[in-house]
Amino acid sequence: MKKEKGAWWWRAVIYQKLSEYYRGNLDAGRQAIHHIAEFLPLSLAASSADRESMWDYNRLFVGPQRLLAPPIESCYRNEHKLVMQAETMAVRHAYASAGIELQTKNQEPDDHLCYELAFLSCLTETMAQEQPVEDSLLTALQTAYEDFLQEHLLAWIFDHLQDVSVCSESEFCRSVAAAAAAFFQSEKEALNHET
Amino acid sequence: MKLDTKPFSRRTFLKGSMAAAAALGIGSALSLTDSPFRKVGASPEQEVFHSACPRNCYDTCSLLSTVEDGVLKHVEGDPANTYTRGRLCAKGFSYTRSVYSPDRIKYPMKQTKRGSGKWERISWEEAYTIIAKKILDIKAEYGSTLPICLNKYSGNFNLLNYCVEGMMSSIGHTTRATGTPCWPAGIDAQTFDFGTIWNNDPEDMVNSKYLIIWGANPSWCSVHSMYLVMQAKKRGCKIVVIDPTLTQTASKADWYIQIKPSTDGALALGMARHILDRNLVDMAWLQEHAKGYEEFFAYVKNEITVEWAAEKTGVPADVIKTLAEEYASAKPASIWIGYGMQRHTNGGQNVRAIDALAAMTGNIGKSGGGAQYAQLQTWGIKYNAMTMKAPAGTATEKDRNININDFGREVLAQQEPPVRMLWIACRNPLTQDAEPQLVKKAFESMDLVVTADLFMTPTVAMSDIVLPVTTAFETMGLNVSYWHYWLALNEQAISPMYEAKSDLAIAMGLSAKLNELEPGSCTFPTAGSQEEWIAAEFTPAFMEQFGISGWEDLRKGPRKAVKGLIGWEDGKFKTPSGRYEFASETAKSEGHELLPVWTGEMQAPEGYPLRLMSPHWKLAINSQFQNLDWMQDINGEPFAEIHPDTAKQYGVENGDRIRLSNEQGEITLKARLTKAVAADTIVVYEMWLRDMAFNVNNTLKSIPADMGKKATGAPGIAFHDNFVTLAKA
Repeated sequence: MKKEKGAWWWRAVIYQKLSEYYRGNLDAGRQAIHHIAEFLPLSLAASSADRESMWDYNRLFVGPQRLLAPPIESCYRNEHKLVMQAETMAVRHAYASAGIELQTKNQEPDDHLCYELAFLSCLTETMAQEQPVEDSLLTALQTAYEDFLQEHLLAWIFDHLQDVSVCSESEFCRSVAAAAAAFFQSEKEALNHET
Repeated sequence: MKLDTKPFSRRTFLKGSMAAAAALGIGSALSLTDSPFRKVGASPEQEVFHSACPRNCYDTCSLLSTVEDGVLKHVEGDPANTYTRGRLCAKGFSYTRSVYSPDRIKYPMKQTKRGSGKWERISWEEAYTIIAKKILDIKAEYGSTLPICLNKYSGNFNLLNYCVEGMMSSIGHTTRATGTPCWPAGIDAQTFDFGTIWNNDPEDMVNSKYLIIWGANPSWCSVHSMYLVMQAKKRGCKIVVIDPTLTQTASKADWYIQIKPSTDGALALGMARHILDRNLVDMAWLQEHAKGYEEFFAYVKNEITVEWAAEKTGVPADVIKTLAEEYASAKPASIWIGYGMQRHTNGGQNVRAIDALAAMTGNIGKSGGGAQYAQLQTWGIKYNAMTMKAPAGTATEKDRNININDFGREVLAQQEPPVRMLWIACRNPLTQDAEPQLVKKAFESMDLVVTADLFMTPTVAMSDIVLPVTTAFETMGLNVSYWHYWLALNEQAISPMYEAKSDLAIAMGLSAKLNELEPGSCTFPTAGSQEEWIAAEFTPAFMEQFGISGWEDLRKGPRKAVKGLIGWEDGKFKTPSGRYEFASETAKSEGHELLPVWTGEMQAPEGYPLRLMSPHWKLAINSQFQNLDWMQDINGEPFAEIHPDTAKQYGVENGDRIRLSNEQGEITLKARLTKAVAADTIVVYEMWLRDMAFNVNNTLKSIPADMGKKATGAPGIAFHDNFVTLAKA
């Protein structure tokens, strides 16, 4: 990947907006679609969130019934979808290797999508900083970013987004998922070009 | 049993590059403002906590919980508790699967319309506000809080959970689902006979020479007792199991006796007749300790024959005679009276007859003896969390009690004032109650239904607000058993997950909101550490009973009662006469028979010739555990056990889907042919399965058991007097 500050800035914003979306801010999802459309670039359908979208969002990601598309890495990679097992701990280790941990550590699973996205936003935001970043640090950040994408996020996000597109009953949630899928596809391709 | 998650070979944990990144100090470069992250701190060492299983189970295990970096890694039995002996049942070992289940309810949520499936997330603040406003509106409209009804029972027996009753008392007087589905007929029976329930310490079972397990299945429901049963056997004790079904416990007995359901009293009376005939009565004990035995013996001699008992029970006459002689001759001999056995219309009276056997053979008040049912001797805490005063200005004088075993009907029937709001905690009425169809109607008629729970049960699905609660590992607690004599502190092992709160925290939070909206409207304390609440439950007498000088002693581990381990050893019965009462005026005043005479069993109604029994299942406790992944793996669907002769009669083969029905409702499930059940009796284990609308109670009418009102406030329910017809589905 080229050290394009522009691209890193875009990524940081997109990861940030998607993270906020998965933390319950539905409008951030709409904003994410706009940013993704501009960044890729790609023509993407966008709609507004209404009450129906909110109920749909909760059925998919929040509860109280069994989640249709649980936004947690362990739910896709642990045999019985149990959280706080080896899969969650692996993500915890990834954060720790970057010197950070969740403020809500042990109250919420480390591998909830909103946190994985926040982690990537944090890394990319640092890479996009105005003041010059040391080469070695930049390389380290980029490596951390690529490794996390490769070993964690990209390993399950497409299955998750597929579940959303199948189970969602609202245009809104489907449109965010479609935009996210396009974005992560592009992230995946960028990774592959690099290696 | 330890099932670890499989390692994923695709991923590597610590790549060289990650280590390099750490070495380069990425951490210091990252901006963490407005981020959910903070600098990584030190990971705590591995810690082991004392926990206790708060389920409605004889065994109330003491646990050791291993926590690493704040994550519960595994749960095992505490060897310091000589009843738990370091072992757990399958359910206990599965605790990590419920704490970290993806299905756990995480946040308070509000449903737009009950049953719609349209939920929105709300904050605790919003939840308390909605609930408090409704409580205050009800109070303003009706002049009392009686329209608010609590249905709470045994989902969580942490003694601090009596704070839920306390919370209700602290807002005024309310409607209470009173009584118990489990065991009330037997409790009343033993209340009439002895004055109260008081079994010997089960660890004393090893001293028996003869043990009859009558209508209980400890292999499934009290696994730790089975070690003691087997120890007794090793020491020469003969183990006899009396049950309509050849249970796992029966398979381990020396002698299994199959009996027609609901005729246990007849068997006991037949045995009594033979014991009298053979002069095996302990007259000395009776003269010193009993009242009314002359009348009882006259009844038995005049009205009961072994041949009559054989015909009634299906147990051959020579078996009855041998059983009676062996039981009466073995010194000491013990009878374990099961709760399943008394879930019939004549259940209480049957228990009285069995108690009579123990008394007439002098097996009461002795090590190795007993008419073992249950005890509440170890439950003598202060009930500080439960005992709250009504607020100043409360116009009513007392709570309104309705029968927990006829909940749907009684909720709908209440007038002046009607019931308008439900609070459900430690309970799942939509699966556990008789006539669930009527219970649902009751829910539908409410203004507001609040349910506190871990998982999306059918009860939660019919609620307006669900409040996520903590598991035992996420909060402190205090635990005892209704069988063994141990007391355990449940330490908090991990942080509450997501936004879960304990029922105690909920009570304090609601009180704060009520008082904010209307000062003085709730007397429940709004503050207090968990340790303070625990400490407030201890009395000098309670501490003396366990030989401790303070509750903190329990941090070192569970403690056993130091006295009162043999029921009625002092011969001082808690009856009006101070004696064991064969003739109980108290029973008579409650509308029952004076003596433990035979009371006929319910006959199968016209058109419904098959009895449907719904005993407890080995992988579940009522509606808990079966929904977890490990249990689903072992058994993913309900099944009906049916005798091959009966199956043939209906043209049913193994694996066929069958429909069991009556006017109340129906269930459809797979048939499993087995000779372990009696002909004309179908056994369907009660359980709540994930993803299934299956409810064994669909055909169950709310038929009361004969007793229960005296000691528990409402009659029990005849779960096993459920008659159906069968058709291939």
